[in-house]
Amino acid sequence: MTSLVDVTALTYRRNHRTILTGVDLHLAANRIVGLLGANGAGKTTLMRLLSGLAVNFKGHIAIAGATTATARKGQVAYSNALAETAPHQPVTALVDFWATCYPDFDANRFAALAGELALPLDQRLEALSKGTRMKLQVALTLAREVAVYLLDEPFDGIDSMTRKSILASIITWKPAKATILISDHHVTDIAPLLDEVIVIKDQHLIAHEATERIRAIHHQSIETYYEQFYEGGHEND
Amino acid sequence: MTNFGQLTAQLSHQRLRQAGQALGLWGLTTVVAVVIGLLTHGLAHTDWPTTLILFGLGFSLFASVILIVWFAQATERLWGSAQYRLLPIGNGRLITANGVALTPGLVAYWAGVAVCITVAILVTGTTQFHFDTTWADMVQLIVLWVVLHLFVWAFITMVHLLINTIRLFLPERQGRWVTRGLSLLVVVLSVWAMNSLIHLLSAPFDGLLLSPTLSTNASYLIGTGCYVLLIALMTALNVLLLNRFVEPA
Repeated sequence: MTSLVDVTALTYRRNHRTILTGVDLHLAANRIVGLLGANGAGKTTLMRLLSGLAVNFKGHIAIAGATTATARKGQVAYSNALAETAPHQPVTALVDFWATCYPDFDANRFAALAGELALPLDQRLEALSKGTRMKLQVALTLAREVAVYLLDEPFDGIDSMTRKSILASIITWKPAKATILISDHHVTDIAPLLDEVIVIKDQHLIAHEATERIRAIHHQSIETYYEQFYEGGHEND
Repeated sequence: MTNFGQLTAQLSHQRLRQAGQALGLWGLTTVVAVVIGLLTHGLAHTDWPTTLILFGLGFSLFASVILIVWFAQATERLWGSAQYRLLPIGNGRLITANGVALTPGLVAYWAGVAVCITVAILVTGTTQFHFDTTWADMVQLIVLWVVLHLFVWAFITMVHLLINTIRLFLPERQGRWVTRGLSLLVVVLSVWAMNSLIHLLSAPFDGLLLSPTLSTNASYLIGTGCYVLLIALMTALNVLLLNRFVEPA
């Protein structure tokens, strides 16, 4: 089977610290993959590397055949795109920027997502609550039509109702052939969505298993499977 | 891939809006200062046209400093925030788009100031105005200002990116003081280098009237060309650092 995401012998060091080492990861198209690990395990770093934000690494990364950072950015939509964005910008200006600068941005799709998630488009970014800002990030990310979606803790610090609406949007708006990599600490919430699970611990990718296999062969829930790796580990993010 | 023209247009629109805000701030500050002068400092009613023009010129520099700070923040955000660094466009094109987008904002600001002051001079009849020579001087001054601004921004970005790159190779906690010392050294060396460069590059301008071989226009073109060349060289280094080492937040 041809991989959509191909990562081979990936090692990333920063400030004399090894954050990821020897990571091999191969993901097929049309999958929803859970990226699990303790705080600081290296989940965000892996997403930054895949998205092309982190550059000084060793190894090989290819997304839908794209290997350079610029080409990968055209194949990946990363939910952390609003980090360090000027807070006084109106949401409409941000949406206009996305529509102009991303050729794969679908304005109709965004309008539908904005309606579904009840986004207040007339406000400034700084006026949005944490949950609403997160919903905006998810809407902007899913409104692009790309091969891989990277959702980095999209439910961090938000209430259960908002979480449910974001989950529903992910299921509804995921393009058929796209793969979603989603990291989250609330394993139980996202478990029903997942096709595969990846666990990162102590700088290494220590497990990569299909959820069907975990349930059928290991006779475990996703949460129990994950918890067996959870104890210990160093922080690296 | 992101379209270079559309990105430049988008950034230009943002910078033009900021230039408009700076012009508004300048106009308001000037008028308020003149009114306060008339009301509280015993400024004679017959003197207000001259005061308006003098205050206008003075406050135009003040507002231009604010505009430079806004543009500097925007430039830093361009390479420091994921919003821009995630765009599917090469770092060279991203930096160039920003440089091109800054230009209409700067031109609009100084052209706005020039037009307002000219109108004020003509309306109040404060002084004689020679259109044929003054406009040419104004255009040359605006071009020089724009080039100088772009030079300063390319330089500041280069210093910032160099510090970021050096920090990347030092231990985070143990090397904190080493990093601070090194940063200070880089800043001092950079300021010294910039000072030397400005002295070197201002030579053609200093010799405008003294040089027997160069005409005014030739000196001006050579000086401007030197700055443009240095901007291009620093931008190339900045792009290299962005491609290889510097990551956004």
